[in-house]
Amino acid sequence: MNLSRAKTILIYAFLGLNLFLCFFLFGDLFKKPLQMRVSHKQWHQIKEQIGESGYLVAARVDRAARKSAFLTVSPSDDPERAIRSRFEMIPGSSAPDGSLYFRGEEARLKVLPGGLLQLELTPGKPLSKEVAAVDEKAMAALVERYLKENKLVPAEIRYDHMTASGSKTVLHYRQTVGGASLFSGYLDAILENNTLMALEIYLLEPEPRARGREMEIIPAARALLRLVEILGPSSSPKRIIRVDPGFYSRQYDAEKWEVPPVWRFLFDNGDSCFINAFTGNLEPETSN
Amino acid sequence: MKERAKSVLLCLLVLCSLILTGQLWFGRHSEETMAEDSYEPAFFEETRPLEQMILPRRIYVFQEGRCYQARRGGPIFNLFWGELSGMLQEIGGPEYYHDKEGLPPEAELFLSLRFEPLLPLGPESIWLKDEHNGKLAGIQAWRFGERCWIELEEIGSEVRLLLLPPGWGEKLAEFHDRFTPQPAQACELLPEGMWKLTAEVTVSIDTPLYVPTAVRSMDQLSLKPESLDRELLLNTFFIDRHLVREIKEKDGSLIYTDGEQGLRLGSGLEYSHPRPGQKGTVPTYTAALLKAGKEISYHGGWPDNLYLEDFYEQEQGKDAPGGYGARWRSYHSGFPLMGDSAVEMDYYHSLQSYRRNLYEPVDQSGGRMKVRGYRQALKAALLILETEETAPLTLEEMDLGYYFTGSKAIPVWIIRLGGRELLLKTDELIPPEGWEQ
Repeated sequence: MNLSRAKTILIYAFLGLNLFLCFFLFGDLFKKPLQMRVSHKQWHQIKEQIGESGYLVAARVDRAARKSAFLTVSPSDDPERAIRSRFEMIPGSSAPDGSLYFRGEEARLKVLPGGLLQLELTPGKPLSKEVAAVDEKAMAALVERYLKENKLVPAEIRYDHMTASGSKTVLHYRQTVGGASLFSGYLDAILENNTLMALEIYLLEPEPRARGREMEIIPAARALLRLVEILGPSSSPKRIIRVDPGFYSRQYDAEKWEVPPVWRFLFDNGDSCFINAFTGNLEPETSN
Repeated sequence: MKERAKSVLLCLLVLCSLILTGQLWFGRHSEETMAEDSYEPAFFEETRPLEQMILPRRIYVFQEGRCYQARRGGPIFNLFWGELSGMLQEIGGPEYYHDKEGLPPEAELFLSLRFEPLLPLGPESIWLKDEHNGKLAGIQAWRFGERCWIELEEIGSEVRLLLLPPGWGEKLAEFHDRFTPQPAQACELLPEGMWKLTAEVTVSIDTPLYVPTAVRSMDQLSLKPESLDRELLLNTFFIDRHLVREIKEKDGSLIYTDGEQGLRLGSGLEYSHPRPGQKGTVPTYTAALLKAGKEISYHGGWPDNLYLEDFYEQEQGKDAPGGYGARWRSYHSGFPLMGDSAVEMDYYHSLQSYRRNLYEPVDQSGGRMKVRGYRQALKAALLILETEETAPLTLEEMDLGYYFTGSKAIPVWIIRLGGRELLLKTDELIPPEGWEQ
């Protein structure tokens, strides 16, 4: 037997040994994501199950296994600073709850103690000459143009969805952090007959994310099952139009707090429900 | 060239197999496995035995026609209660000791014990184990020479008189003979009935009361908040710490929550875990007591000067799940510490709410404060209460204690009169600052 042949045999032998050792040592790591992932078959079963409870899913659902960590946030005073500089305080107007009132050019600003800003336009700002309802995308574009022109749109705000009731329309924007949605931070534009009447702004200041604290989160399909379990069967069909990962917690009048990763379920009537992606529990105050 | 590449590949594979074999040989644990395996039940201290959970509220010793109060934590208190507790544990069933002849006229009362909360009896308890489940409100001990009797005042039953075996009786009598009263322990009996305090003022007394009469001055205490190991405390409430998030409030307090239960650490601790769906049989009195003892021992511990003050079954309603409520109070030098310093707990089968705000004495260098007599204190209390009612108010309790204010505890008279509680500074006989009726 020559040396070359001996080397080839040894290469195959060691390759086999290494593969065996790798499987033995790291097999679980490879298998786990596959176990965590929700298969097509499972997803169809889940859809059927929740359908029987009166819930219809008209959204793309992420079936992959993911990891995440808490996000530490504190109330952001950036928008308040930017907007308040254009307003002057109304003397003696502070409310017993600690809210402050400011007056500006054709606008009134209320600053709530937790950091929520309520901007009331007096009179409202017509965004379209047409009084009839305008297409959602066109309306969002008009609002964004107004916000940009008036330097009212923070960079981390993204358009989310629209709700309408009679002549009143609300365009909901959500805060984003490094591409992820932070549903606790938002901007709501309130319109009546295509006229911008008011803005509500509540933004949070995220701290840099700590590495090494990431944990597996439950897949969206499992969160959906939990949601139906918590809400109970619905007598009239409820349509879920969006299923998004992100971060959410109720607002706290605190210095800083940790926000858990969630799955956000958006219904066609504009209601949102947030399922904690670590625990599977419903996060309170589920709609803004 | 080809042979060289083969050699290099072979070397790499050998090296790789050595590393992998090393990993296998010396063990490799993923972070998750370590986290799972590292779970250990966390608690501050082991649960106290039942005999150390329930202690008499008051012990009075009678000698030569005078009454003396043995205060909680004192050697006389521990001596008499330790002996009587041991006897009640050994007695088992009291029928055997029942004295049908009754007390001889020469017998004298020498010891009186009151239980609040009530002492549990029966098979689940350690006292009178052969009895049915019952609750004892008080014990009176009588003696005639070396012979001793105890009267058991059980809730819902007639008073029972037991003649103690000679050995036990002699021992109790010996303790009584050796008792040397301290002047400050002296009490005065206010008998049942109407008591004319002055020509105009009368109070009624439903059950005989003993009030301290010989305490002339008391130390003011400097206190500091109890210090608990925060990490250990968190581990006692939350099994999976990975799921717990932290909220820092503007006043520096910290809130920890996993979405279901919440713990606030600021001035003391507050815990809440609403569980509206809890169902099942309500635990018995003794089982509930043991549960309360376990919960407080696990979540912060049960300091020596902390006594169970109140223990009650809560009514079950539409919004109230029922269960039990417990309240503990600190005692310093045998006197209760009033004010915002206590431990309160509501629980059913598991803890629902828990509030703990305790203080430890730094030293007793806060100076001494004069103690005015109980008659003056009672007059001052009646003046403060000034009611339009013509019927005399009922005096329910009167004792000395401390009131916690800021970082100091000052001596006060505690007066329960007509269903209301009043605290009066022992020197000025006015309510202490910060106290609200």
